[in-house]
Amino acid sequence: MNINEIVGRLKAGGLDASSTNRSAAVYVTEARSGRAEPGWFGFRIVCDSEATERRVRAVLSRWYDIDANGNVWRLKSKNRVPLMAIKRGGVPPTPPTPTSDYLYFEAAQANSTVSMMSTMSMAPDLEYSTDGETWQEWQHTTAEGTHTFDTLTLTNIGDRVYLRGDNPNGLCEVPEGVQQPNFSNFTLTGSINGGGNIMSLLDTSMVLTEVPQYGFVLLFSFLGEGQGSSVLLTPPAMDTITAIGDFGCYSMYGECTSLTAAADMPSLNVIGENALKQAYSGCSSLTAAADMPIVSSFGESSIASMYEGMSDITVLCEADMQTQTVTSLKFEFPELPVNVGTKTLDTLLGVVMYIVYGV
Amino acid sequence: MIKVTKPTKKQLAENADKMKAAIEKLKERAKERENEAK
Repeated sequence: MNINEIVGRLKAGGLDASSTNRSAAVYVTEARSGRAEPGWFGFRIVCDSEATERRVRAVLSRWYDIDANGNVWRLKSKNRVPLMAIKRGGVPPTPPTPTSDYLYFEAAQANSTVSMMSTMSMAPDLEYSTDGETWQEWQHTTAEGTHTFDTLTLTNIGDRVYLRGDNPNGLCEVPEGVQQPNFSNFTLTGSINGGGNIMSLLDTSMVLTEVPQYGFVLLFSFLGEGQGSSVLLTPPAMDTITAIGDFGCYSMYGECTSLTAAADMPSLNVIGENALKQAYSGCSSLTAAADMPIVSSFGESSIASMYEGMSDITVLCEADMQTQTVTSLKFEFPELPVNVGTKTLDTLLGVVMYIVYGV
Repeated sequence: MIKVTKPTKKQLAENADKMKAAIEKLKERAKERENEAK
């Protein structure tokens, strides 16, 4: 199978197909899966319209099995390795550059506020800035074992505050022999868009790409009684993260009910035990799951209940029914699919229960 | 523009209570996990 063969078959079917002209009605490109093993997609077929996509499916279905999601499978393949994905949209996206902005909060509503509380033995080291250049210490007051940081009020819509600090061991600690974590939690009011690279909270130079164990436990999670928090609209970027330690992002965005998209993690390779467990639990407005295309190592319960409470989620599995193993797996929300790489699990039902319900 | 304000005594007390309650919840979940594992 090579790219010219695919283009040839599409052309023979009367389509304007090309592997070199991005403006063609059907542009065929080799996809980057980022993994050495048979990739998630060998090729990507980008169609300029729904009508073209239908014609592509009709032409290719003479030789291949095509599922409802536009994934093209080799007929009668023992291993069911997906060959191609059919996508809509004129020009393939260029890969985004990793986020280098410091983490920031931007007001979507006037007088939105940002604060933080922490029960760590030493309060996190943090600075704030309004322009990303001049920094001031973010001061805190300690009472009853809890550090409360000064409230930063974003007076006007569009006002931003940047945050950074050197906290290489994370914003949570679990003292030896003690069951409870001492964690940090942002208190946000109003309506706020998050942005910039979250790793600036751990490393002011943003060289660190591994979230330490417990690093971001409950960081944006809603605490207290009630229906969750509707303040945070978009999460900061997590696109430079390559590994998450055990419990690293446990319940990180729990019950952020206005979050519409989960943070993509295109560089993420290793997920530790419980590391993304309940990360987006109760985020009832999510329409897009996190893209995690190159994860190769899933720790125990690493993604259990990651999207707990979502009623509108599809889990797509490819499985070898004879050996009862799942060979590929992805979440699909109504809008976007996400690839979580490959994982071997015992049964198909087990996969669904595990990811959505954590059992 | 941003304004910076110190927390009030009331906020300090409320935050301490919130964190204590959250930590208790986490301890309970940890115990549940331990029991499930047994």
